[in-house]
Amino acid sequence: MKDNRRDFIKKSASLAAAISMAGLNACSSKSNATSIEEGKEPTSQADLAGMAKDAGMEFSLSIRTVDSKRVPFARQMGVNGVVTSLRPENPLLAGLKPWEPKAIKTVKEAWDKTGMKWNVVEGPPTLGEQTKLGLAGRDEEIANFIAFMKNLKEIAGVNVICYNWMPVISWARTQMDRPGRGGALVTAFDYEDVKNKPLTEFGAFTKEALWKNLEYFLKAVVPEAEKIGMNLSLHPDDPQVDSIQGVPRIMNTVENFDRMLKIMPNKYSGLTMCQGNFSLMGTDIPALIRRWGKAGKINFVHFRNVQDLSGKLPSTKFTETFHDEGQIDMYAAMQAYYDIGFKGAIRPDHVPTMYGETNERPGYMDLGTLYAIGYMRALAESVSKTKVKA
Amino acid sequence: MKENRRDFIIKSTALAALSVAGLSGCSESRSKENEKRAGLKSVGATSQVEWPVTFGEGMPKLCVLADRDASLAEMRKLKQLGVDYVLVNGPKMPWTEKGLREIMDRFKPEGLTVINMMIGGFPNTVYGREGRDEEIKLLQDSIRAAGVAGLPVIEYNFYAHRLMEGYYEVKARGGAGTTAFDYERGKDAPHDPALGTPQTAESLWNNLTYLVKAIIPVAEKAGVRMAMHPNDPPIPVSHGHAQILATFNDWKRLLAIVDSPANGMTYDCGVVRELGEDPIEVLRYMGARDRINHMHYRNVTVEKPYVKYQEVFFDEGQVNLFAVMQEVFQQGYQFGLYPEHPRELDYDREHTGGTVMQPGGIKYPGGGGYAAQAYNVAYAKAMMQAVVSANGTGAKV
Repeated sequence: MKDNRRDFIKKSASLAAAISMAGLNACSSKSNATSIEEGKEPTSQADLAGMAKDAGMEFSLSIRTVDSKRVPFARQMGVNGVVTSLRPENPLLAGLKPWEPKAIKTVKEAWDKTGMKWNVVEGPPTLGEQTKLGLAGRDEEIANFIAFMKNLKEIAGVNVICYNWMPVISWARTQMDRPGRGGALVTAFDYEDVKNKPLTEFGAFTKEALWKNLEYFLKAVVPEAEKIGMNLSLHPDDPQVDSIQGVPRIMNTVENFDRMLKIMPNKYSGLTMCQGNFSLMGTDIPALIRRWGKAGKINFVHFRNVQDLSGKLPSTKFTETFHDEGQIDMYAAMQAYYDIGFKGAIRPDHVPTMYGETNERPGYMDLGTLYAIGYMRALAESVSKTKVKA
Repeated sequence: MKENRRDFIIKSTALAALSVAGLSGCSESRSKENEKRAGLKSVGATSQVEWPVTFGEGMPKLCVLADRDASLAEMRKLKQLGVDYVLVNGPKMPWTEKGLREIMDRFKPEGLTVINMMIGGFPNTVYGREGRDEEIKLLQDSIRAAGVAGLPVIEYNFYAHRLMEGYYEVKARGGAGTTAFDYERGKDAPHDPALGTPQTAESLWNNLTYLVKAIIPVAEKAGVRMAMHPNDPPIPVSHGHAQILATFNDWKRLLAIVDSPANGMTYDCGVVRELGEDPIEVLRYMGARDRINHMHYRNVTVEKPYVKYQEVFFDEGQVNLFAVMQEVFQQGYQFGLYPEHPRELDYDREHTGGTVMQPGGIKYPGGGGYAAQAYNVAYAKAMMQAVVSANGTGAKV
């Protein structure tokens, strides 16, 4: 490619200036781009052998517990990163609060024994309806959340927490077994199927209330995250529709993410680039990766693909797909991560359920995961090996 | 499978023919247009191809091995991998137009096109024995049938004996199995009296030349391309029998017997590296002559060329598989591309009762099954999409 990375870096200096948003420090990217700036492109077989695996990113899988069969499964794929949380049903946590030092130490030691690297907490404990809905008890939740951040960083060395702002109704789909390619099963969502559903026990409330609660949370937590060195990574709403059963959604547009980032502009307040949701909002994923990546906002990646079925964006009807067959330009996305110097955790997120598999955990079965990792790995190689001889 | 790949290799000595609408026949070289389309344009960091990427006629066809009697469920199992093409072991000779059409037509409703059938069952031809003319007649008839049925490629091979004893399993990351080969393990293996007098290289070349000269003109006329699989393992002698398709020079000599695109080979970037040759150089040599009629995509780590090597995960060998894929598109290659030899994973061990058979029903030490194949096929597909995206030359353009 003529437009190599060295050129890109040169150009990007001015580009970064042009796109930096008010209040955002465009030069504070946590990504390590040193090797790029040196301008060294591998050109020989020897260089090839010495190249960073997976373009320097931490390929990871979501694994609930250390005794999961997904541990040897991941190791055989050469995937070494673990995205997990401290779930109350984990027997290691019996009698412990998940934010207590002992709980975190126990989980950390268990992962260390497997040889895998615990690199992200996705779905943190102590961030629930009290905080998101502004109910009594939120200050206690937030205090525990801050303790969790501190202990997680100090004891486990984990420096990314992926959280969301979807109270009451979190991840939602209207179909868990839509037939995809060759009869593989995928999940799907159609707003028509939920629009007439009744309100939840929490009743109806406004977007502004959610914004207010988010602001309260960020103002309390971000300064602490900065002291601790914890990268807060807000996940977009999934699905990114306007509301479900009276529960409005606010992290459902790119503009709203920009608004969120301005509430407490700080290098430790960032986001999870979940490609599926942002794409369904109608945005160009590679361009968005470059913009937010330059601003140092991307801490964690859900590398997945989707297909809109509503015929217009933002989408109100969509299906998940295999990684190679959706609407997102996956190659350009991977190239964008490489170009911004992203070195963090990246996981395939949802995958189809394939031949011979039960659909017991839609989106997280084994064969589709193998397919996804093989696919991601080749893309990572393709963006990093463009100059290497065979 | 009734006729697995090992059988194919043992029986083999043969071939056949075909061609399909949209696939260029033997008599025509690739058009300039295709070359232009596959050319590497300089583009920016963001690709300009509409996604999901689809592949045009002048591009490689990602394929996997299917049982020719595959059930509907088995076809869909393969379709899930994201392929539109399959290769199958052909039926017993002589092939007939009707017989081939029945096989090919069964796959069509599931969106699968048979792009290659392997042919075997001509030992007398390999050994230069009585009965070879009858075998060659069967081959010629089969090739003609393939041409009429619209099968574009027939793959064959030419072994007097294949040294399976040299393969053994080496555990790799997380306890996954890889397939290692060491010539020392089988170098002095005695020849099997049942296989007759050990074949010298000279006699095998005579026999191969006799075969090629007899079938290539038929294939050319039928619009079918023959793809000779190289000897793999690429060692000089197996159980006393010479191997004559085990070096790059051997391959050049084969291609020179009859100067026709119908007289082509299976390009296997893994085998090329096993020889210590440069995969890109060999690809360019064959591609420039329009002699690549099928392709195997895999990776290998070589300790000593021809003698000691290990078939590894696609992502960890010595072959730069992205560079290979770029060159494949650059050459305008438009036939089958088979991501081959999956590694043995726990998933396959647990779902097959312990003995993991590779696609096609072969057992290699450290070889894997469907789960590992899912990894390989996705990897190959991503490489294809990456090349098309980097080139900015999607099929929809």
